[in-house]
Amino acid sequence: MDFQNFTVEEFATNESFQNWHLQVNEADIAFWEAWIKEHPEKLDEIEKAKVLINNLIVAEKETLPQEQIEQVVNNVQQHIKNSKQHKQIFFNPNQKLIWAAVAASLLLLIVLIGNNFNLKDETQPVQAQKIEYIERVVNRGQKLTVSLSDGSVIKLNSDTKFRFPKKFDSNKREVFLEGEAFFEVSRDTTRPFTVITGELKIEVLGTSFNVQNYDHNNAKVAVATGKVKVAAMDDLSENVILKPAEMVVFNKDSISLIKSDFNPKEELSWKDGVLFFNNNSVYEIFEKLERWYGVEFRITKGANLNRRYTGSFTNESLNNVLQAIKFSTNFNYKIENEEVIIY
Amino acid sequence: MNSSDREDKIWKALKEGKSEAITELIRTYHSDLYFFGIKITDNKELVEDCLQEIWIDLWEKRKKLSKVSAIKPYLLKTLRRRVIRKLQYQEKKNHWIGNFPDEILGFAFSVEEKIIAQQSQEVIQQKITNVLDKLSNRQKEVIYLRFYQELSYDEICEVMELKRQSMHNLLQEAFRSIKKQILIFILLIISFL
Repeated sequence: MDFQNFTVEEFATNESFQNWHLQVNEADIAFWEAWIKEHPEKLDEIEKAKVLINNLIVAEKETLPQEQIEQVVNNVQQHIKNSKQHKQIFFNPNQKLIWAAVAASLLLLIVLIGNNFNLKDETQPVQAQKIEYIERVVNRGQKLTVSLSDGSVIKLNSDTKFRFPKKFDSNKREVFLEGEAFFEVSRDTTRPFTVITGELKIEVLGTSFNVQNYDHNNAKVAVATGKVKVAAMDDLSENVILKPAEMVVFNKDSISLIKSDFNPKEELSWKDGVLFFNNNSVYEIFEKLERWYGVEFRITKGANLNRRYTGSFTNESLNNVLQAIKFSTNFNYKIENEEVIIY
Repeated sequence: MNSSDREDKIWKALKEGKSEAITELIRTYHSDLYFFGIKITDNKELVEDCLQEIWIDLWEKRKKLSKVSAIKPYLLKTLRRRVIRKLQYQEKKNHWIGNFPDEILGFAFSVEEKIIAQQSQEVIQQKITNVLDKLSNRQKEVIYLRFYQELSYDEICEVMELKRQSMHNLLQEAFRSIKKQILIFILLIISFL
C-alpha cells in the first residue's frame, strides 16, 4: 500500500496503523517503526492521526458486577438441570419407576391369589401415577407425521414441537403443541381429545382441524370436519365452538378469540406439500419460506419490498419459488448456503 | 495463539455436552455482550432476555453448532441479530416489517467516562463527546466495536454484516468528522485567548 500519500484520517483508519499505535500486533509494530524511520516527513500527519485515535481509546472498560454474572450462570445452569431431569422422566423410565411397577404387579398378584382368582371382585389394577411422554421436534425445513396409540394421525409442520403420552389415560387424551399441526382425531366419546398450545386449550371428540401457534404471531385454529371447542387457558369461561370451515384467531395482546371463515387453501394446503400465498406481503412470504426451507432471510437496505403476491407451489425448490415471486414483486436475491440475501 | 486455543477448548467441551463450558462462556463474555446490547437498544430487559436465550440456545443446539473462527464476534453477531428481530416484532407484532438495522438500532455511547485520564487534553476531549453525538449510529458502532470491544476489522464486518469497504468508509468518514470538530474547537479556544 502506498502510505506516502496518506492523509491524517487515512492513517487513523488503517487497521495496521491502529494496531501499531495500540501496540497489539508484533508485525504491525515492527512495520510502522521501520516505516516512520524512512519517512520522517510524514511525522506530522502520523502524530495527528494518533491524536484522533487517542480520543477514542478507553481508559476503563465497563464490566458488570460479579454477582450479576453469577446470577446469570445460576439461571442458565438451573435451566440445563431442569431440562435434563425432564428428559429422564420422559424418555428413560428410571429405576424408581421400574421398582414401583414391579412392586405394584407383585401386590396385584398377591391380591389376586388371596382372592382365589375371584376376578369378579372389585380389585382394581393399580394405576401408574406418572404418564410417560414422547416428544417430537420438527426442525425448520422438515415435516413429520405422527400416529398416536388411539389411531389419531397428526401432521407436524416445520419448526414445531409436539408432546404426547406413550399411552393415553382411560378418561382423557391430552397432547401439547408448539408450532403448527393438522390433527385427524379418532372418534372416542369416552375420552375427549385436548390440545394444549400456549394459552389455548382445544377440545374435541373426533374431528380434523389445523392449529397454528408460532411464537410471536396470533394463534389460529381452523376446522375441516366435526366440532371443536377452543378456550383461552387463563379465562376458561371464554370459549368458542367451531363448525367446519370456521376458524378462530387468538390475539395474544388483547387475549381475545375472534371467529371467522377461512380459505382452506390458505390454512390447510401445507399438509399436502403446497405452499400457498394469497395476497401476502413479501415479509409474510419470507417468514413462511424460512420455516418451509430451513433458511434465513437477510434483507439489505434499498431492496424494494412493497409488493404483494398470490400463487401456489407444489414441491418446488426454493430457487424456483423465489424466481417466480421475484418476477412479480421486483427484488433481487442470492442464495448462500442457508441464507437468502435480498437486495 | 493462546486465547484461541482456549476458545477451541471451550467450544469442544460445549459440543461434548459439558455444562461447565456454558458457565465459562458466560463468565468470559456476558459482560461485554451486555454493554454492547444496551448501546444498540436502551431496553435493558430485552438485552437481558436475549442473552439468557442465547446461553440456553447454545446449550440446546450444541450438537448442531458449527466451528467458529472466534467466539466473541460470533456471540456479538448473534446478539445483534436477536435484538433486531425482537425490536422488529415489538414494533408491529403480527407482521414482519421492513425496518433495517439502521432504522431500528440506535447506538447510544459517548467517551465521557474515560476522559479524566488525560488532564491536559481534558477540555478538548469533553468536546469529543459531542462530536461522537454527531456521528451516525453505525459509525459509532464501528468505533465502539474497534476500540471498546477490541475486534479486528474482519470481525467487525462479521458482527455488523457489512462488506469491508463499507465498514472502512464508515470509519474514515467518522475520523474526518472528528478531525473537523477538533479543529473548530481549537480555533475557538485560540480566538478567545
